[in-house]
Amino acid sequence: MGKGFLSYAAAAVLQAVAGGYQYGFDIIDITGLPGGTVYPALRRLEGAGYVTSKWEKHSIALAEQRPPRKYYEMTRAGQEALADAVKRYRLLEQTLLDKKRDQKPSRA
Amino acid sequence: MPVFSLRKQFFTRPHLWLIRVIGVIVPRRLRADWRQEWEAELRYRERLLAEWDRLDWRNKLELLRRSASAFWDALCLQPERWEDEMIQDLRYGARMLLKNRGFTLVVALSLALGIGANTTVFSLLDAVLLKTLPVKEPERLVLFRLLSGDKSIFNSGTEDVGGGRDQATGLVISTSFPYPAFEHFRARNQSLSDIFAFALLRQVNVSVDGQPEVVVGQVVSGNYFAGLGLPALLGRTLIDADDRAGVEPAAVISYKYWQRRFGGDPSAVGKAVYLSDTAFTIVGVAPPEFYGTLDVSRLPDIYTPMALLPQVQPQGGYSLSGAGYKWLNIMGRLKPGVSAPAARAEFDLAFQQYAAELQKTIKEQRSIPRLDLASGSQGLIAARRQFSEPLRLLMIIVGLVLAVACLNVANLLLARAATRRKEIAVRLAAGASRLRIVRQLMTESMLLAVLGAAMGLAFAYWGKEVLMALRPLEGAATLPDLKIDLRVLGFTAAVTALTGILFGLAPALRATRVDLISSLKDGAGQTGYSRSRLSKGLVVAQVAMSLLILVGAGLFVRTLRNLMRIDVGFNRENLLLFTVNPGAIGYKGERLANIYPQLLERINATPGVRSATVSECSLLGCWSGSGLCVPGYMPQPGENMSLPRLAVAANFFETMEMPILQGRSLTQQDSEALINALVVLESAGGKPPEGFVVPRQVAVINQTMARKYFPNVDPIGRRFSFSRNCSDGGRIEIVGVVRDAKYDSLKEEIRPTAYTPYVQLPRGAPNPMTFSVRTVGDPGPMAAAIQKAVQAVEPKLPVYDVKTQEARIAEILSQSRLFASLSSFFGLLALVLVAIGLYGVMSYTVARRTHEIGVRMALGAERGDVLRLVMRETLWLALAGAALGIPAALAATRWIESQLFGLSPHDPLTITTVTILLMAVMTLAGYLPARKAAQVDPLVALRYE
Repeated sequence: MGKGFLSYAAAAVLQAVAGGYQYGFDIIDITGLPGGTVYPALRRLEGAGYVTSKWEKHSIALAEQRPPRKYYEMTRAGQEALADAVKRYRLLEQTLLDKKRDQKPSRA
Repeated sequence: MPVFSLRKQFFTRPHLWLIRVIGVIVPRRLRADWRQEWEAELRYRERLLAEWDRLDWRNKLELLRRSASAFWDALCLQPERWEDEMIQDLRYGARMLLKNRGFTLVVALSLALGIGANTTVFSLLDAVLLKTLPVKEPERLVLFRLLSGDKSIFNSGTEDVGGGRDQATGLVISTSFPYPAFEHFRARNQSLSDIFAFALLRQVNVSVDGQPEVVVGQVVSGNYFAGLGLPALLGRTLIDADDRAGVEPAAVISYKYWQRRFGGDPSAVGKAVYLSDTAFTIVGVAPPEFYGTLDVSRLPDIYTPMALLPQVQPQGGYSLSGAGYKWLNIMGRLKPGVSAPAARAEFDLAFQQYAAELQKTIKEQRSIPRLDLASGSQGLIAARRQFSEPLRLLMIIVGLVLAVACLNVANLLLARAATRRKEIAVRLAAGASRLRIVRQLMTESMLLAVLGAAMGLAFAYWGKEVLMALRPLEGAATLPDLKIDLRVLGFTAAVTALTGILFGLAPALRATRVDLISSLKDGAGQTGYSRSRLSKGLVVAQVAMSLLILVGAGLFVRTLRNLMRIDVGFNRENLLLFTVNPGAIGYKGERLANIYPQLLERINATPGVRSATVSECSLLGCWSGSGLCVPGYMPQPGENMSLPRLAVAANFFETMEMPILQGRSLTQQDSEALINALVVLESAGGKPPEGFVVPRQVAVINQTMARKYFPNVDPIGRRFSFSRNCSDGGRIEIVGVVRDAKYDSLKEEIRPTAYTPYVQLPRGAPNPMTFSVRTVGDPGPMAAAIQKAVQAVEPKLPVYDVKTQEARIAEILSQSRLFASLSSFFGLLALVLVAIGLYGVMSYTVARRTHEIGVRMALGAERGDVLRLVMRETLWLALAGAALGIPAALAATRWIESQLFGLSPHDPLTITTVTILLMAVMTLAGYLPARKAAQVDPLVALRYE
């Protein structure tokens, strides 16, 4: 992606991460986009430096007898890119307002 | 974490099973993380749902759907795999190539020669056969053609260039029409947005700033440039308003002419030039890539409007009014949405009407041709057909050379792969897939191919200049520039890719079929054996191909020698030729007939000139003929009764040194009688007055004519006619028999020929005429003096086509010379390549068998025995190659039969010589390694493992 414009899907995903939805499937849920769109978008965002990824704590995963999940966090550059994208995609602005109302982070 | 077997998991947790399956296509280094990410999410969600008691079939399906979408994610990761590995391969490959610089250079060079040669010849093929006109939408253009049987309603007109026969119907193809037919079409045109006409003007007298010269021209209808969609480079093109009688004469010049004559000076536009004494204004310059719509070999220098034809050709020729005289080429542009068959139907109807009207004016019932519309995207296609065979031949030769180069490179790569065996074994043992290594080796091959292609393109830029200078196409006056355009580059790219695969694949596959254990240890092992079989096979193939090229070269060289040694029947040394066209500056009748003796007198007086004569054309220069009827001779049905004839001055045979065998030569008296008759006719206003006696017409015939039509009798005094019927009992009297000489073709058998005095009633003389001047020494430097002599008699008379006879003959032979030199060059090249290949293979064989040799020597073998042992293998290879190559040569040379002269394509002398040469070179190439083998110290060899 580089220094180009964010696609709408990528912007929506970025917005979701900004809104606190940091796990892949949660982003799928909140944006309504399919996994085949969300995950490639996440990888591109990571490649462009707008988000970073981390594995959750091993202890938590072990307790639940499953592998650690990956979660994503916004970076400073990502915030700027999101601000740009919101200006361009009016619809995002709208959903942003909606989301601020019912935030529901699911950090494990 | 509990581990589920795959089968169990399929049934209990299909979503996880799906992730594992999809994970296979994820690039290896990303795979673990990717799987973990997806599995973790899926299992977390599964657990949550289970906690909330929501794990019903609907939610399970949802999970399955989610994991299915992982497929798309995996797909999106693919480019990364390719990118990484491709870049890795390229860098590794480049490093390998740089490490072995010598090897890389040798390979790249041999590829460059092969690819460069192919590119050069293809660009020639492209320019002549494939290129479309550089105009707007050339595929919408159509060319008008006639398909006629014998005795067609149009039986007069200019000769079509190579019309040929339509393969489907067997009818004769013609692309010329009468001018009134064009007007008829134009009036009834519905399907074409433009219909325009053009024709070649063979020799146009142009005078710029008082300097006369003769150029090639094209006469066009007013909408020619508009119909083609061609803008002017400078100024404007001709338009309909120029194509009217009585307007300011305008002309457009070609880019080449503009550069050549005006030095590219923009002030040429608006300048006045004189075409045959009429002032024309140059209104524009055509774009540089445009070369007219005529044959590919005729590049017009100047374009003039059709209505002004009489001014450009005052001595006649084309006729704007002759309803049955065809000379004009017609093209059109289809309207959008109109198909060619629909247009053809419309115009055929119009044409049938025209022909019906014409038939009414002719007494005899004749067949009416059919109209056809062919594709006009290349202009007049006709001429290209005659060049397609030599071009294809050239492509085959260079193709073979490239094949030999590829085989050589393949062998070199095989040898090098053997030295890299350990490296490859290590990589295989470390877990690299065979496919991966093969891909990497292929990348190296491709790099080599690309390097070779880059150098080859450089060669091609230089090579096409050389090729043009060698005048590869016989009969082509000039050729359009050879350009390395997109199509040629595309061809080169395709050839490069093919080459890379050809020589890279087999060695790559072979190299990776490695026995790991034995390769990781030091030692030759058994792996060499099958590799050397492949190598030897390649060498045998190379030998066979080189034999093929060399046999071709031998045949071409001998053909050239035969052609150069042809007895032309006259003395061709020290002979200077040039042509003048006094008719173009207004000479006719008696004045025209008389200027030639004046010129001859002046030229004869020039120091350095032994004798000079003039004729209708020079020998081997053109063709002029008529019908023939000999009273008392019954022609066979279908026999060709056309007679080549030449109008000559009285001293022709003397100057050309053709001995008169019987009777006498033509004399001054013969010409004078005719000139007097001309005077009488002209003073009577063209109508023969009372009591006017046409002077007797005489001719000198050649031996072949005498033998054929007057066998066993004395031909002197006999008569014949220059027409196909003998109604007048034969008007021409034979006064002498001259020795046979070639007439228009160097290669063809001499035909019956008649020579007549050049003075003709009523027009005076043929126009133009060619002078043949026999000089004391080298004729080249005499050109200037002779031109001065001509201009002293008539200053406005340009002299053109100045050439020595030897040069003219060399031109005719240029194609043969090209084939001879190119095939020899490439044959030797192939020979060198094969020799190197053989040397390499034998060196390797010897190295491999060093231990065995040591054993033999220890057991009592002499050095000579060892030598013989190794040489035997060499000879087997050479013989195998010859055994393949000779039958192939015998089969293939049949195709080049048309290019040969004086020998059969299965000429045993050539084949034997070439085979012996090949064997000798192979023996030498194999001798050096053999000698090394014989010099091996047995003690060292025995220790060698």
